[in-house]
Amino acid sequence: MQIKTIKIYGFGKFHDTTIDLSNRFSLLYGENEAGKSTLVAFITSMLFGFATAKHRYAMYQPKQGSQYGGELTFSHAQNDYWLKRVDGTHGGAVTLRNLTTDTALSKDDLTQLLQPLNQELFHQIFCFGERELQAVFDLNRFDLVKRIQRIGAIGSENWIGLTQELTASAGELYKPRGRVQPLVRLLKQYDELSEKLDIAKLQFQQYQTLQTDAVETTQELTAVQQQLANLTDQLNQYQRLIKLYPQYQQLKTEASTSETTPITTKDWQEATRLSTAVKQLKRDLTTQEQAIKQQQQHVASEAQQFYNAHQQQIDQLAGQISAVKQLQQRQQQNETQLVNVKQELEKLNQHYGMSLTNLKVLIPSEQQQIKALFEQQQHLSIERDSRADQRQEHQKTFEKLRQQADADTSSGMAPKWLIAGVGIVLVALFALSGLLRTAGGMIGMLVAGYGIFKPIISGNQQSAIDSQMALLSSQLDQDRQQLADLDQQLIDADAEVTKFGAQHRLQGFAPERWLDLQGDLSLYQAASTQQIQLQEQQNQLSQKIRTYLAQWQFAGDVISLGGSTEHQLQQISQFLSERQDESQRLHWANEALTTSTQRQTALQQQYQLQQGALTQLLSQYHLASFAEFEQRYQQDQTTAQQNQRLGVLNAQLTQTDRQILADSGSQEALEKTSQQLQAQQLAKKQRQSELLKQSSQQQYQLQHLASSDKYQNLLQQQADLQAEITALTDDWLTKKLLINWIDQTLINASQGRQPQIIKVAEQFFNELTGNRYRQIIFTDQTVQVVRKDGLTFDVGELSSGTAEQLYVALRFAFTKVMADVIAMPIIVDDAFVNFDRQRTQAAVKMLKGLAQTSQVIYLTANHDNLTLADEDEVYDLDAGKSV
Amino acid sequence: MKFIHAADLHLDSPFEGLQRLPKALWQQIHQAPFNATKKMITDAIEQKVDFVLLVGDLFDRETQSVQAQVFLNEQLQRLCDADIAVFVSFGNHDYLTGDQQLALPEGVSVFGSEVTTKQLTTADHTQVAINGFSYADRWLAEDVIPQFPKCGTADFQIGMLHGAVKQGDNNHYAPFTVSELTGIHYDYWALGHIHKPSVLAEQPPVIYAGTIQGRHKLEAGQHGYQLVSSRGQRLTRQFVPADQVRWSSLTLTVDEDTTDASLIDAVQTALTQRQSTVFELIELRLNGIEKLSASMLSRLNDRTWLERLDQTQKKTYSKAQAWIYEVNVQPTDQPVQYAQLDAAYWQRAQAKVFTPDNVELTAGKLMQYPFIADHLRDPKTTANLTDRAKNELLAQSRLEEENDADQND
Repeated sequence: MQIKTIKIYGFGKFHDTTIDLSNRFSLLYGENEAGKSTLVAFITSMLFGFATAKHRYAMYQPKQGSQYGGELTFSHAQNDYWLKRVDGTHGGAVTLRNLTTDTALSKDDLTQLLQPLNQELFHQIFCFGERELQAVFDLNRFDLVKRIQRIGAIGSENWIGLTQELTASAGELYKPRGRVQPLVRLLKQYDELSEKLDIAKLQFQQYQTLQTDAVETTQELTAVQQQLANLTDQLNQYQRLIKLYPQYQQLKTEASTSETTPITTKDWQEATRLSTAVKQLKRDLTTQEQAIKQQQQHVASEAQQFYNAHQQQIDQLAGQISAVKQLQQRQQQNETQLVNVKQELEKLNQHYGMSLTNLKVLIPSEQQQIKALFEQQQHLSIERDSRADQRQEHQKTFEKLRQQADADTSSGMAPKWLIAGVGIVLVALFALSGLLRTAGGMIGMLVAGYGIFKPIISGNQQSAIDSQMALLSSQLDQDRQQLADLDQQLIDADAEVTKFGAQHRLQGFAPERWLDLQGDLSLYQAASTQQIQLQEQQNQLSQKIRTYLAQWQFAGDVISLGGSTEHQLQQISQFLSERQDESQRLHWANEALTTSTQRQTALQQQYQLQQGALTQLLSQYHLASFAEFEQRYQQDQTTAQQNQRLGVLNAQLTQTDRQILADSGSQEALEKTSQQLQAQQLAKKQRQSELLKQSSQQQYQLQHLASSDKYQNLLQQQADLQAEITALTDDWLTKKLLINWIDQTLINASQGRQPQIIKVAEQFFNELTGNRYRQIIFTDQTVQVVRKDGLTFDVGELSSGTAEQLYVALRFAFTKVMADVIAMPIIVDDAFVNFDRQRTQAAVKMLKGLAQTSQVIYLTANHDNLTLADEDEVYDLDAGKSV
Repeated sequence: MKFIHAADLHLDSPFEGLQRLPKALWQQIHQAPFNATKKMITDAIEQKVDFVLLVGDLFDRETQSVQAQVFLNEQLQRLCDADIAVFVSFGNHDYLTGDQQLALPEGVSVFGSEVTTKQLTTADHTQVAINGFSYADRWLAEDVIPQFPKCGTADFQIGMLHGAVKQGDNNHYAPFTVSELTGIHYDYWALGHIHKPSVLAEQPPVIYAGTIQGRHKLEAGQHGYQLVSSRGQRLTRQFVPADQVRWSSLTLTVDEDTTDASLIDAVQTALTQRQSTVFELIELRLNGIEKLSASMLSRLNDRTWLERLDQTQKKTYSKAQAWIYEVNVQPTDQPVQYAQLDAAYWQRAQAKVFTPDNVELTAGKLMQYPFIADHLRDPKTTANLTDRAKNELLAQSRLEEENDADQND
C-alpha cells in the first residue's frame, strides 16, 4: 500500500489540511506539539476506524468545529482507492471507491482489503514510536538479547511488556528465593505447621506407649497388690506364731514321753469303784459287828418272867378277857341308858310341874269326845264376839246421829267466821292502802257474812236424822238379847269340860293342854318300864365281872390289881399287851441277830473279793496301793492334758507354721523375720501408691490425648493451608505459564521468520555499523554477530550502542519481512532521537533502502534531519506545506 | 433382620479445598465427620439393627489421630453396649498390621487378611454368614473374589469387599468385576473404597455405601449409609443420608452489566432459594465472562471479588446454610485476541507450554511439597491452568487495550 495524499477535515489540531505523500520516502518535520502523533493516529483511524467513545483521548475530535474525519487516497495491489471517513457509528462512516475500476466499495471491503491487519497489528508491525526504541535502549543486556530473540513475532514488544508485568505480578505472589511473598510465607507457615503436625503426630505413639505403659502399670499394680496381700498374710502368720511361740516352746520341752503304760480311764474308774467298795465294805463290817453286840444285850423283864412262869393260866384267862370287856362295855352302855331314861322322866315331870306317874293315857274315844267339846266351846265364843261387834257398831252410829242432832240445834251463828271477817276488815283498814285496802275490806266482809248465815243453810237435815235414830235404837235392843243367849251356852260348854277333866284326873292341867299331854304320857310310861329292866341287867353283869376278876388274884402283885373293876380290867389288858409286845420284841431281836450274823459273813466274803480284784488291778500297773495308783493316774492325766494342748496347738499350726517354727529356732528369729516382712510390706505399699499415682497420671494423659482435638485441628489447618497454597500456586503458575506461553509463541514466531529477517537484518546492521559486521547468528540461547574480521561476538559482548543497532536492524528487518507479505506504509515516529548524527544518517539511509519495497513515512522533530532527505521528500507540519 | 452398611468413614481425614473459613463454620465442618458417624450409630441403636458392617477406611493409618480412633472406639462401644454386632474389615487406608493402631473395643469382629466367614444369629433367629477380609498392606493388586466361599446354609450371605472395579492394567485395590461378584450368589455385597454412594448391581445388590461425609469438591452430593432389612427372603435397602455438610455447586451467568455488588446479590438470592436441609459448601461457577468488563474480570481472577463476597457471607452463611468456598470462572469459547499471523505459533506454544511436565518444571521448588506435586500432576490441573491462562490473557489484553487507548497521545 502506498498512501498518496492525506486530507484532514478535522482531526485533533488539524483541520482542512492536505499532505502529499506520493513519494516512497517522506520526511514529515514538526516541532514538538506539531501533531506528529495525531497524524499517525489519523492515518490509522482512517484505515481501521475511529476510536470509540470509551477511548476518549484516542478520538481526536477536532477542537474547532470542523467536520470530524478526512480523506485518504492510496494505491494498493495496482489499484487506486479513495477513502473518506467521517463521524459515524462503529468507527465512523466510510466511503470507499476503487478509482481504478471506479466502483464504490463498502466498509467491509476495506476490512477485507486490509486483512489480516487490524489497528493493533498495524501498530505493532508498521509503526515505530520514540518510546518503543527508547525502551529497548534502556534494557539490560539480558533483556535486550531476549528482545532481539523475540523480534520475529508480531507485537513482541507489547507481549514482552505483558510478560514483564506478569513476571512482576507473579513475583508478588511467589519467588523461589523470596521471603515476603504470600506464597513463600504460606509455605513457611506450612513448613512450621508440618513440623507441629509431626510433633503432634507423635501423640499417637505417645498414646500407644502410654497405653502399653498403662497396661504394664496395671499389671505391676496387680502383682504388687498380690504380693502385698501375700506379705500381709505372711506377716499375720508370723505375728500369730510369735504369740504362739512361748506356748510352743513350753510344750516342746515338756512333752515327755511316758514309758509306762498310762492308766486307762476305764481302769481308773474300775480301781476307784473297787477302792470305794472296799472302804464301804469295811465300814459296813464294823457297823455290823457293833449291831450284833447290841443285839446280843436283849433280856426278858420280871413281869415277862412271871408271865413265862404262869403262861398257861394267864393265856387261858387272857382268852376270856375280851368277853369280860364286852360285858363291861354293856354295863357301861346300860348305865348310860339308865341315866338317859332318868333324865327323860325328870324332864317330863319338870315340864308339867308335877309327877305324871298317876296319869293314864286317854283312849281314842275319849280323845274324840274332848275334841268335840273344845270345838263347840270355840264356835260359841266366835259367835258371841261377832254379835258383840255388831252391837257396838250400831251403838256408834246411833251416838253419831245423836251428836249431829245436838250440834244443829245448839248453834245460831258461826262466831269463828264472824270474828275472822271483822279482823280482816280491820287489818285492811289500818294496815293496807289503795286497791289492797278495798280488796281486803271486801274479803273481810264476805268471811263475816258466811259466819252469820251458816245455820240457815244446814237446818233442813234435822228430821231425817231423827227417824234413823229410832230405827237404830230397836236394833240395839235385839243385839243385847242375842248376846245374853250366847253367854248362857258358853257357860254350859265350860261345865261339860270341867266335868271331863275331873273324871280323868286332869284338873291340874289347863284343858287346852289335855290332848297334847297324851303323847308325853305314853313316853313316860315306856321310860319307866325300860328303867326297871336296865337296873336288873346291871346287877347280873356286875356279878359276872367280879367272878372273873377274882380268878386273877394270883398275879395281883405283878399286875398291881386294885381299884374299880374297870381299872383292874384295864391293868390286866395292859399287862397282857405289854407281854405280847415284849414277847414279840424278844422274838424280833433274836431274828435280827441271826440276820446280822449272816450279813456279816456275806460282807466279809464280798470284801475279800473286791480287795482281791483291786490288788490284781493295781498289780497290773505294778503298784502296791491305790494311793500310788491314784498318784500315777493324776500324772498320766497331766501328761494327757499336755498332749491334748499340744494337739490343739498342732491343730492351729499349718504345715508351713510348723516348718517356720522348726526353722526359726527362737522367738527373736521369728520377730526378726517379721520385721523384715514389715519392711518389705512397707516397701510394697510405697510401690503400690507410686503405681497408683502413675496409673492415674497415665489415665489422665491418655484421656487428655484422646480428648485433645489439637492434632485433628492441625490436620484440618494443614488441609486448609494446602488449599490456600494450591490456589496461590495456581495463580502464580497461571501467570508463569502465561509468560511462558507468550514467550514461547514469540520465540516460535521469531524462529519461523528468522531466515528472512536475518538476511535483511545483516544488510541493515552492516549499513548501520558502517560495514563492521557481516553476519548475525541466532542460537537457542543467544544471538551472535560475526565481525568483518571473522570474530564472533555474543550480543552480551557488544557495546550497548552496537547492541541497539543490532536491535534496530532486526526490528526494521522484521517490518520489511512483514511488509513483503502485507505491503503497508512504515511509519517511523522520531524513533532515532537518541542516535548520534552519524547513526541517524545511517538509519535514514537504511529507511531509504527500506522505502524501495515499502512506503516509509518518517516523522521527526529534529531539524537537522531535514538535510538527510531530498527537498521533495520533506513536509513541514508547522508550515503546513512541503519545504 | 436389619443391618447397616457403611464404609470409608475416614474420621481423621481433613476437609480439602477450604480456606479462610469463619472460625465457627470451621468448627462446624471440622466436627461433621464425627457428627455424621454419631448419627449413624444413634440410628443403628434406634433402629435396633442386628449388626453394622464397616467396610474399610475407617481412618487413615498415615494420619494416626488419637482423637479419631478413640472417638471411633467410643462409638463402636455404644453399639456393643446396645448388643449390636459390629463387623469391621480394614481397607487400604487403615490396613491391618497390628501396630500403629488402637485396639477396637472387645466385641467388634475384625476380619483378618484372609477371607473368612463369620456367622451370626440375629434376634429373629436368622442365620447370617458374613464373608470378608482386611488389607494387610496399602495395596492389594490381587483379585480376592475367588477366595470368597460359595453360599453356605445360612439364611443370608453377605460379602464385605473394600476395592475397586478392575480398570486397565494398574489395579491396586482388590480389583474385581461386577459379574464376578454376582457369580457368587450372595444376598448382598457391601462394598467400600469408592466414596460416592453407588449401585453396581441391583440383583443381587452390589453397593458402595460411599463415605459417610464428603470431604472435598469431588465428593459432592448426599453421603450416608445403607440401611438394609429383610422382608422374608428378600433384602430391601434404603440410603440414609448422615452427612452434616454437603458439597455442591452453583452456576451463574454474568454479562456486561454485572457489577461486584450485583453479582453478590445474585449469589445470595440463589443461595436463599436452595433451602437445603444440610449445610452446603458451594463452588460458584461463572459463565459468560467474555462479556464482563476487564476490571471486573480481573477482580474475579485475582480474587478480590471473592474476598468481598466473603465479607458478606460471614454475615449470612448461617441463615443461608451455605458457604461459597471457591469461584471458578468458566473459560470462554471466544479465541484469545492474538494476531492471526501468529496463531499457529500461539497454538504450538500452548501445546508445548501447557503440559504436565512443563507445569512441573515451572513449579520447580514447589514440587518439593508432595501435596503441591500431587495437585500439579493431576491432568485436570493443567487443563485448569490453561483455562485460567487464557482468562488472564483475555483480561490482560482487554486491560491493555483500554490502557493503550487511554494513554495514546
